[in-house]
Amino acid sequence: MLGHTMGAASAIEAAVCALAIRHDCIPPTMHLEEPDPACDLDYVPNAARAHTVRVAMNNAYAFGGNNSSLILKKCEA
Amino acid sequence: MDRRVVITGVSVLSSLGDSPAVLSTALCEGRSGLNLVESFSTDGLVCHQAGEIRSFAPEIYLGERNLRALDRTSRLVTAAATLALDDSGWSVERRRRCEVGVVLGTMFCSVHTISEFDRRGLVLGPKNVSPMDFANTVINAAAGQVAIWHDLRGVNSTIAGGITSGLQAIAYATELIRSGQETAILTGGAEELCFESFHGFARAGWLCAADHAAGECPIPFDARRNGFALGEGAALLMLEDANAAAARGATVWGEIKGHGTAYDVSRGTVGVQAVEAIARAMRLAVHDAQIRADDIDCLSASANGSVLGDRYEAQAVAAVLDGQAASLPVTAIKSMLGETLGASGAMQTVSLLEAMRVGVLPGIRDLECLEPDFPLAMASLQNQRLDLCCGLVNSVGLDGNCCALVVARCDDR
Repeated sequence: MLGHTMGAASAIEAAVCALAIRHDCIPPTMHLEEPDPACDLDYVPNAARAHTVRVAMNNAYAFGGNNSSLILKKCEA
Repeated sequence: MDRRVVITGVSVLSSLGDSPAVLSTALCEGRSGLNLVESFSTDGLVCHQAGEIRSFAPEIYLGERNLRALDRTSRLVTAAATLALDDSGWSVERRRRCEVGVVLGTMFCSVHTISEFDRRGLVLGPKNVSPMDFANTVINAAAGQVAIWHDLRGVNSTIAGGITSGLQAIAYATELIRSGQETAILTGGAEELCFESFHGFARAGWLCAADHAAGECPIPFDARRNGFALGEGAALLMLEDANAAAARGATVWGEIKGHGTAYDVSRGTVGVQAVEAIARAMRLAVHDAQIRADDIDCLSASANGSVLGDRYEAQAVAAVLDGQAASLPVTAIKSMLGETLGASGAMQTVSLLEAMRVGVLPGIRDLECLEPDFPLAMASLQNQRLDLCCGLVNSVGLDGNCCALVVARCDDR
């Protein structure tokens, strides 16, 4: 939906993870009609899914070999 | 409790030599790495000198194969890494078993490579741009290239904070080790000399000017100074968790005791704010090191010959040392190396570690006349033979960034 925003991408994703935790709603991957059998994960295709999100992991992998992961957790205040 | 961070290896590539000992000897002999620029024309500009590494031959450090993919900045960093890894005892075999990270400071990485990419597209058409140049247009190109070359599989970060980049890289690497996220990190800074940055700084009015009464006068703290001369180089430090370093029997150069960073939003246009930001960075470093300001035995100043920047730094040191600035020994190696931008803070740190090891603080070349009421009375043309246990490194940017680092000597070497 956004394209690859390069250096901004993982920060935007982190913000979306925070929103998913806040609203207990996982935003979808749009236009995912034919999942690749080699990519065997529980995707959320084309429509948002209501789901209690306590912890979210945000991954970022770069062309140059950099790999980074961030974990966000719901505040139970 | 936070982990202690020690320095187990260092390297430097500069216009005055490719080892801390050779550099130190040159600095103490008052030799200058500044010469007329050879690699491009300076016709029509007010400045014609720079600290250019005329003899740099990457194949000496890296062999002759696969160099084509590396631009000059990446070659400087990758060659410096060879020397620092050798010095620290991180062999190929050890790097295969344990991860080493990279945190590199650089101001431009390679504005020359970016310009070459653009030039080719403009001259030959967009379809003919070079994919090899494109891969090196990113500011983290050198950090990636050095990791690929030397099999460094830990964190890989690039810090871009103008002149302070190298010192900020060391500070960030220190925090990664203190927090336990990394055990060993190769860190420091690098900058190439190129046509594009030289012309940019010249047009912006920062470089020392030949049309001035004193001629080109890039002499830190001298009353005649009229701007800086550019330089180039790379300096790297291997930082390690002190316990891990001891467990592998590493030889230790020194310890990173503390660091501080601040930003001057006036970017040097309001003197009071500029002085306050430099002083704040130094106070934070002293606080982080858990020492008192008067525990500092010497200062490696950021001063480079800038008329206002040098003055603000001196006033900030006086404010932090509260009356004892006049007795603080000061060196300013940019008098001999030029302003090496993102490499400068790391080059100052390596030079200071060597000064602590041999017990001689280099004088400031060509320094003849300090300004009236100048607070750093120990800024001197002469070398000073001293027992140096604890040193402060300053890095002050043109962009408002200020960073300070406290290092302490270890007597392993």
